[in-house]
Amino acid sequence: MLHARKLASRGDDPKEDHFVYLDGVSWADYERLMKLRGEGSVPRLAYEQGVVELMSPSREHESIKSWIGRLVEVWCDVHDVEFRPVGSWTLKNKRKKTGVEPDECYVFGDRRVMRRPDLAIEVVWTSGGLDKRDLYRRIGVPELWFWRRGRISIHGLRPSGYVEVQKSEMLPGINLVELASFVHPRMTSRALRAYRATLRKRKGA
Amino acid sequence: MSVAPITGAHMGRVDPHFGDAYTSSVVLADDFAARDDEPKEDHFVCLHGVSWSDYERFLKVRGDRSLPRLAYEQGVLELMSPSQRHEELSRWIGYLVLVWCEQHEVPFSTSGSWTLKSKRKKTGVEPDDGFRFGDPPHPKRPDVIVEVIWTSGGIDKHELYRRFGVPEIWFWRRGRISVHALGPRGYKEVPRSRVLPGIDLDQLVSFLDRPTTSQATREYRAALRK
Repeated sequence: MLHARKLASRGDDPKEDHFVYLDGVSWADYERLMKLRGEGSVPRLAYEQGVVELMSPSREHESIKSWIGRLVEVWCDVHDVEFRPVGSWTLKNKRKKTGVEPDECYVFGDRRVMRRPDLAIEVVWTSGGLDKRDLYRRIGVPELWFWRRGRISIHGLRPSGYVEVQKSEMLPGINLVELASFVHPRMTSRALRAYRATLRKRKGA
Repeated sequence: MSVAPITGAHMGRVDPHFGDAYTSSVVLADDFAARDDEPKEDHFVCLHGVSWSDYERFLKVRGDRSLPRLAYEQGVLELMSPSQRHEELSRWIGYLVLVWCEQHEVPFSTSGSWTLKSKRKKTGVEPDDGFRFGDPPHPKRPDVIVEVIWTSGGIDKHELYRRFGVPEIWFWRRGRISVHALGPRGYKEVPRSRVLPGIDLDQLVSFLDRPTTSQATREYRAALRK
């Protein structure tokens, strides 16, 4: 069916992330929504006290997310840090009526049991989404990175909530100003090689 | 750390990714800093494998609110959140049609957003606005529905409206309203409305750019009186 094909597409290459909200959603409805969405990562779903945010990321958003992940992995590789990338992990807490899915997340070190990631990364390509810090706080993710308009801000979890910090506590020594500078609109894998070369040179390898 | 200016000669001689990897990257990354990231498009999210009862559950949860708009067809659910400009346009079109109907003493009912659905046809759709003319108004479906195409994307709704027998669709797109009339083989673009013969939609559309709604309706009313 011709129109069925059109159903699956998003039309003329949308430039923004697309957000849709539903209110008055029970936990059971939210879990049903997760089931409908299935194993894929689109739309991304967040849940907070009855509100569901469905997000369809733009191509640029997904691209930036992937490149940041790869750059982080290059850094870990050069500095011999063990890591496990978990991608868009659905972090849920029924009791706290909270659910959130980061763009990328990581567990560092050699732990076998993972209850939650050490680091969650979110790309803010289009503004207007839910402020996810409350959601991550309830899940207890120690560190958040938000990329927005070329800059990565770092948020460390304290008993009172997240505070913006200047340096990563999960990956001490990583320079996120430098890392963010390698993420740009015409980025290719050459940027990964250049980043690796920059890091090695500094390390004296 | 200083940023090296990019000149044509520099780009020619040095690979921007290797020559001075860090500083060149910073210049390119600055492309992002200046970007306006406020949402302006209509927003669409699609879900697949949605059953009819799931769709009805979504309608129930959404309730009386008009957003997001939901369209359903054979297992695919589209949720749509229109941009502010999109919403404005569809509201204003409704007001101006009301003005025209008042001037021409045509009984007119608008219900804002309207849910057309059929379990048997596994179809559901919600136009931006739906009008019914005459007294009493048609009990089951609008005579004319209005769809503002602000940004492309989303389900092609012609087929969905056809299943409900909606006589006319008025599409606003890029400053123009086109009329699509339902015939035996589906919708066909026609030069003027048959449901409201005599309405000049090119004239109506020209009043959508006023700074306020009241100015638009006042000036349109004055123009119709001439």
